Amino acid sequence: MQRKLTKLWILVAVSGVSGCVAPSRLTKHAMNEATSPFAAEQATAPQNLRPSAVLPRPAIAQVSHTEEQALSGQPCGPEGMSLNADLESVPTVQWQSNPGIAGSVPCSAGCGCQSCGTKAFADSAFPTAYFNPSILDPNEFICDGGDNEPAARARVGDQIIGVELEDTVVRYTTDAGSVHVQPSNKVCVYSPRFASVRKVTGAESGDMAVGAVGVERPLGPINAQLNQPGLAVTGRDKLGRGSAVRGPDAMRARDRGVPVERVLHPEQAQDVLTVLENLALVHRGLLRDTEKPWLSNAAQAAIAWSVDAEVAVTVNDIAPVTLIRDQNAQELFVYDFPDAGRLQICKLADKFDALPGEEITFFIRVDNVGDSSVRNVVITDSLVTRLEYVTDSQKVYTDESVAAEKGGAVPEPDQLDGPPQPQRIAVEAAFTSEANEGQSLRLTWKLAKELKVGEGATIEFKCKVR
Amino acid sequence: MRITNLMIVASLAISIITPFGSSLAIAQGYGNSVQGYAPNASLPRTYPSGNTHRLFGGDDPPGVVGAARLQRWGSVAGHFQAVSFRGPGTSQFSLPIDGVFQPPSDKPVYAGLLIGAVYRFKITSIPGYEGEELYPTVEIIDRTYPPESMAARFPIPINLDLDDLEDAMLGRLVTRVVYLEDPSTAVPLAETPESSRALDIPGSQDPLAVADVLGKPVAIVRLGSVAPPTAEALMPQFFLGYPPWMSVIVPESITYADPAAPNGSHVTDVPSDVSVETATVGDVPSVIP
Repeated sequence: MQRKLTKLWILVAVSGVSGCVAPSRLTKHAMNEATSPFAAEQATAPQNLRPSAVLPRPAIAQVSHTEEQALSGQPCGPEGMSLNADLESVPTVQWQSNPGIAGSVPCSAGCGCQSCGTKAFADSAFPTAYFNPSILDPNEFICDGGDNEPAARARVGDQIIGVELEDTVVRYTTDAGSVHVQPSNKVCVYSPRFASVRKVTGAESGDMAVGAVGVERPLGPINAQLNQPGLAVTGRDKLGRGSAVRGPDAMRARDRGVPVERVLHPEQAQDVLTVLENLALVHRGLLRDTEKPWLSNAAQAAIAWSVDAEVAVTVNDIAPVTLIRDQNAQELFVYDFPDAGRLQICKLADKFDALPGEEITFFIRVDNVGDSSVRNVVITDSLVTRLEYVTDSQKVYTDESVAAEKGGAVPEPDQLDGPPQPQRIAVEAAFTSEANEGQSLRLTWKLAKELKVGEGATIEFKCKVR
Repeated sequence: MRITNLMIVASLAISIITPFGSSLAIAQGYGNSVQGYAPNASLPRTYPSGNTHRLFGGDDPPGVVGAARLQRWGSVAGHFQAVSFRGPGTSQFSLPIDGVFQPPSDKPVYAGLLIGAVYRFKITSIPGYEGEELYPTVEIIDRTYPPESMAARFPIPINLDLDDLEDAMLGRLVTRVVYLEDPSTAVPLAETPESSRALDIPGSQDPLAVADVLGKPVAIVRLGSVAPPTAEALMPQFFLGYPPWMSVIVPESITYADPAAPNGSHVTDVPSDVSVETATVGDVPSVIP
């Protein structure tokens, strides 16, 4: 139970931080912000980047410590520290953190320095480093997902090019026949790895210089097997074939200009459309609420011109009959023809941090959020060097509540150990893997069937952190 | 594990002549790849390449490189960096308090060490060399930025192997520069937190410069055959000024049955929201999961 809660909380937190990436509707800049591993702060994330129906599981856990709570506490002074402490007299010692740039570290809410002194290291009030990009070192993270430059492209024959390390993309074909490549969001896991450079030096006995034991000399010809260019020019190769573009021999043209004796420029120009060209309805066909008064005035002006200011004739000082009526545009219909099927791809990890040797479970969720079905769905993920795919750990499924539809017995919520788990249905997919340039694997799934509107699939696989 | 790859060393020997100059780039090691790391707008984000001269190196006296780190941007003064000590087999580590080494522990030692300070520690019960003692030093020259309450889980590992200890007992000086590996150029080897992978370089190269190329140097360990002096007046020099350190309490591992696992297998995990009460207290100076 505890473990499930923790995992679910992590899933929700990850989705809130990184966000899922849906095609279109987002500018390139917005997508970059959404997929940036360090610039994503949940509180400041754009609303349109929040995943809407990505996670099939409910959010049941709450964040226990917020940054606001931490900042509201009192800063820990040096008196709270216990240096070289005798643990028999001081049961627990406090860990004092210096966030580097941010200055001293405040305690959590309601926690004074005295109580901080009794808090153990594991529960001390560290700054929320995940969401503060100013004190992060990207070398301490393993990131996977997204699409680094050069961008992935689709080629003929279900081939995807431009998939480098870390990249996770999905390729699909819409009903209209167009092929799209959509990158996922980027998932970063805190997993620093350390190594050493060793140098061994020793003193010579007797303070004497010791002569060289041997000299390494090249023996024999080097790279004789290679066909290298010679050092001297001994001959000339004739031109085997020459191609040249032959220009026209002659050209006739009648371009005699007609002399102009005088050019008259307009003294004044008026363009009634100038005031309207900035309206989104005029140049892009979008109807915005902020522009409705302008559109109303413009429509009213047109009606006034065509009705009220119509041509009238005066005969014998008798005023003509004038038709007076008022007319406004009551409704305006704008027909928007949306795109075809669109896939939303979202990548999640079940951990925020991992030590070398631990396993991370990744989830890749694709959903058809478009208006028609898509086919030839191919998902590929090129793992980074420090991620080693766990053999036979991948599975593709979808979550649906089919038990109720089939009349099966649905357990009561209070009989469940934890939140209700959605039923999983295996999705037929062809899985392949191949070595990539990072001494890891590039994983590829090709869904056998098309994804209809609203349908999706979840890919789950495990990786071992190297 | 000892890796002796002459090709790598040869390529590094060429590259370290001209890359980021000066050991000022040591802690600025994340120079050109940091996103959002702009503590000082006046500092360039990348450093010019060329025939720059390194001000510091791995052969500098203990404390020089760490002291230089304290003078630069990104204040790390007063920060206690979590460090773990591990050795081969039955070897035991201990840190001094007021000039007296604590009883050695047969478990890995966790401690919070000040950046810029140099600490003397003691290694005993070396496998195959029982009765021998070594007194190496460790100098923390940079810090890590773990997430909240995760510093004890991700310490800087000072993992020594038997080759280091044997070389030191033979009178040689072993200099190990521990660096944070750049994930984009990581070596595709499966490792664990107990791994002690080292890249051996010849005496003509600077280990700090090589580590700077491979990642961000964070610690320098020097193992020699120095023994404690008999004269009391030399003790402050031997202990390098008695710098303070802090005990690090590591939460205990929690073992519980995983209902989803077959055969009722148990899962050992350290959840991030583990409470304070689960921490074990009593061992000195640390507790091991």
